[in-house]
Amino acid sequence: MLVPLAVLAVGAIFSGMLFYKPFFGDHHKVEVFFGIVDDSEAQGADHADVGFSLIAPAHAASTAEPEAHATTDQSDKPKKILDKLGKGAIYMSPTNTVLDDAHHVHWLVKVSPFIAMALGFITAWLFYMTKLDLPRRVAESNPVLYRFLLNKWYFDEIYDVIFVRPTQWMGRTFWKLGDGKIIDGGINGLAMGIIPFFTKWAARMQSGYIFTYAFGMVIGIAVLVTWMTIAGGK
Amino acid sequence: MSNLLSLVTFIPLVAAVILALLSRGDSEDSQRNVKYLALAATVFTFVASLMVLFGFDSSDTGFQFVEEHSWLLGMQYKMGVDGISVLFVMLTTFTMPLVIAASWNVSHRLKEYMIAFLVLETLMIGVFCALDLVLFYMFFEAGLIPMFLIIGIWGGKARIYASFKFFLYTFLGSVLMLVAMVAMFADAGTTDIVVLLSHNFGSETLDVFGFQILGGAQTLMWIAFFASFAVKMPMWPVHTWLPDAHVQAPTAGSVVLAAILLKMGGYGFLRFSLPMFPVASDLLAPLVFWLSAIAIVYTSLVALAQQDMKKLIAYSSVAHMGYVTMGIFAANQQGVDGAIFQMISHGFISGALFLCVGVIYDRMHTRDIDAYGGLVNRMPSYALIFLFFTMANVGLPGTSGFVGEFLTLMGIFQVNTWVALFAASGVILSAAYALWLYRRVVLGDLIKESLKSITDMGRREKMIFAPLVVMTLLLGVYPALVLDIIGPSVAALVETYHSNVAAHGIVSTAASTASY
Repeated sequence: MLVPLAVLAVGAIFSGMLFYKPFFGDHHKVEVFFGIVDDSEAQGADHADVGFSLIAPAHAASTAEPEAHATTDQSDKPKKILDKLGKGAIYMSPTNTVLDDAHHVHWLVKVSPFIAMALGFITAWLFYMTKLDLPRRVAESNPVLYRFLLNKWYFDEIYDVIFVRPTQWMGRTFWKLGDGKIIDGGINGLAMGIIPFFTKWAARMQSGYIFTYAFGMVIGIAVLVTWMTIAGGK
Repeated sequence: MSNLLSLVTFIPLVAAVILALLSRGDSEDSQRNVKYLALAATVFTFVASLMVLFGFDSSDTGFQFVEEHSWLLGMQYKMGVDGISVLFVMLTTFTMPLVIAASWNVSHRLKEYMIAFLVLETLMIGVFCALDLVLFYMFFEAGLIPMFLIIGIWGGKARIYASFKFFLYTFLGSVLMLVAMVAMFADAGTTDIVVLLSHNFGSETLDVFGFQILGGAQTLMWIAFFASFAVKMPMWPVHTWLPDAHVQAPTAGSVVLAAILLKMGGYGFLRFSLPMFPVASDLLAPLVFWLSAIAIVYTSLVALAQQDMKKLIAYSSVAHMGYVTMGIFAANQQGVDGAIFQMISHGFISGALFLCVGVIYDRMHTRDIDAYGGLVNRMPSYALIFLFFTMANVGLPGTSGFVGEFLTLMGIFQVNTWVALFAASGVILSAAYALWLYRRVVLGDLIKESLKSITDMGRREKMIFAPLVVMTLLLGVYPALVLDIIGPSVAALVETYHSNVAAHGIVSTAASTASY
């Protein structure tokens, strides 16, 4: 039990760190991390290069590396690698200011997840630790709301009606009607109905009596003469 | 070694002949010898094919390891591989030892069973190596015979119906291909595939019984080849033989069918339709796109309605082959790369899924989904393996299933966004039927009495799955293993295709339908 909780806690801390920096961290450091050039650099750069420069820091750093190597101590190398790690990994378009906007929102927006967590925590504490009859009383006093929340806003039922049942119906129809009756039925009908019908007649023709074959030849000659008469032998 | 490809091709046949001549009786020793000889032959074939792979220069877009000898009636025995075919040879030789190992418990007519699979291996490798039309046709058609026997003799209750359906469907299409081959010989004066690849077949509009045939002779030949390869893939609406064949075939037969035999259709499109009839391919590409999109959505929906596990996976295969045909006729680097990758990947994944069904079928003798439930409680290893391949089938990133689907969708998106939209919906549907299957078979409480004594996978079964897991994962995280080999040949194919289309002065129909 403790191990999963510890894993969740560690995950929460990392998520918090990730969440904290864009909202509260050092403005410049965040922009450098995401490979965004600061305003002064952008102004100095050619306009056509701006889009590229957003993803360029890691690349630029690598081209400048030989010079840096010559002037800095080798012991700085791991730190430099760590500093460069991930920079430029996320492309930010020149018009995308979402990270900068996150810095300038009202402070209540920034702390709203914490408030939500605190409210949830307090409610859970009241409901399940201190006043154990409170959930039942709340449910009894608000039966409609209780059922609505208990059934997860009826999303499963809505999905079932809108997506699941029509999809299953289509699947069954395609299978039974499309594959079974139309495709297989058509081919089987051709193979077991029409072809045996003609072969049955062909078999009757093979009677063994000379007059049957002579009759066939007469019919053939009649057809040939008719065709030559109509088409003029062309 | 100048005859390495022939060696790879005919080792299994030699083993089959040895089995036919020397193996006698149904004693335990005799059966053991049959199994070990078949396994040794397929493993040796795989090792020999590795020599082909390691000696293959992927930067060379031409045919390599070429062998040419005079054969009967002035025809040539010509074999060779390029970047497009070499991996299909590898897929075949890789899969066959696993197929033999999966058949370890077969006892009914074991010698004949193994002979059928060994002969089939030779014929399948031959299809991918043949550089002569007649040789290709012989390998292609002869492969029907052992598969027909495998389904017809070692299959389920309705095996006769399924085997005849399989044979007649595929054979009927192939007859038209034979007619086209005769026409090609009459036009080019040779059956050498290498020469035919650079031959310009007529594309001037023809008048046939008052109908104007755009693309001329190319269109007629394309349709004849399409009749054969579309059935083999299979494409909608000529797919209905596949679910029946899969359901009735023994597990090993289903694995070969899904992993290798279906790929012959895709390979045929790449070897013949696209490079030899570029104008017709360009004209008829929209037809293929929409048939593929319909196949993806239609068969995915049909898969949702299945109660038989094998049938569900069979319909899933048809849907996945839809991505392949779509990618091939997108005729760009991503599309064709993706199509080949998808075929290789599907070979591992669908083969493994049929093996997964085989594992529980061997124990319970039913494929009915409702007969299972809660297997995770008794079969944790099985649950894990089945989950892995279910996710790979869905196209989870990190597995090889993702790469092929992603590349083909990227390829088709550049040509026709509407088709890409429909095809992409297949990804969601595949998640629906695959996860639903998994939930009903593996998850939940183990309630059914008949399942309470079911045992987990044994060592042999785990050993069979291990290479498939490794390959699915490896190609998922490092697709360059495949893409680096096929890339140059595909680039050359795509470039030649577009230059031929441009040379014939036809505005790309596929491109003209592009809508953004």
